[in-house]
Amino acid sequence: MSHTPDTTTAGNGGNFDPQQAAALLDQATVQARRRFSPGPPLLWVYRAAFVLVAFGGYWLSVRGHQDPYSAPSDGLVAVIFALVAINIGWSTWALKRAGAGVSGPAQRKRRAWIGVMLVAWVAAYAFTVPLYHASASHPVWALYPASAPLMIVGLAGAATSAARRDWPAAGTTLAIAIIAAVAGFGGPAGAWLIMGIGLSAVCLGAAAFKVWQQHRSVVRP
Amino acid sequence: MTTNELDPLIHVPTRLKIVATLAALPDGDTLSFTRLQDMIGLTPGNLIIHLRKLEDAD
Repeated sequence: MSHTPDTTTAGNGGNFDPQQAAALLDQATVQARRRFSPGPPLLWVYRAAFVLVAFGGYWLSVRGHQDPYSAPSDGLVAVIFALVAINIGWSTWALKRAGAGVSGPAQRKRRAWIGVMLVAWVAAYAFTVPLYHASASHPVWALYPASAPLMIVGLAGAATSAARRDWPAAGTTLAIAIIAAVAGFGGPAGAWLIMGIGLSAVCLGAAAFKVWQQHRSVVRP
Repeated sequence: MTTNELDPLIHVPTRLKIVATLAALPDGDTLSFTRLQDMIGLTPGNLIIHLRKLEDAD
């Protein structure tokens, strides 16, 4: 860690002029926003690639007429599990780094929000077990895991984000729910493709918004 | 003081960094001394001096 020299006796900051002060204020603000951000732009870019590979891979495995239906290859499933594990690990690390040493109402609300989202994820995917045991038809079995879980998670996320007035998160999760609802009309195979492209676009949009949010100036011209 | 003048209390570079860092926190949240020290890159003694100057200005 580098330490800056003692400037406590610098008075008016030496040769510091208003323009330099404005530049330093912006620079320090950008750095602080970046370090407090639980969702860095690069993580959102990774998520964009991840959903495109995962949903796109599934679409490639189920497209066309299949009778009987052949499941995705073991290799694809292994790749998807690896990508999910990386996403969880990276997200957890980013959350811990952003929240280190920070406490207060916003942190408590964020933890509660994460808890709600985890419950929504588990509940949405747990429903596939009774579907499987009930021998659901191919269209139901294909459509539900492609779109329904993310519709449930998206709506839960939008409602809870709006409740804590986190409008960017509410917009992102609402967009996910809308894409999932639209994907339902794509049919058992098309739903996977629509989800892959739509979610990837949402993630790239979120990455672009994060970059703008972190770099917007706090100094009035 | 006009808008083009610098306030010798807050416009010292290090104190400007401290204020900008704390202002980036969500409303109502607090930051630990060690995390602030890590983010600003000061020794504990120097950071305390800067924080006291800001506190005394309240």
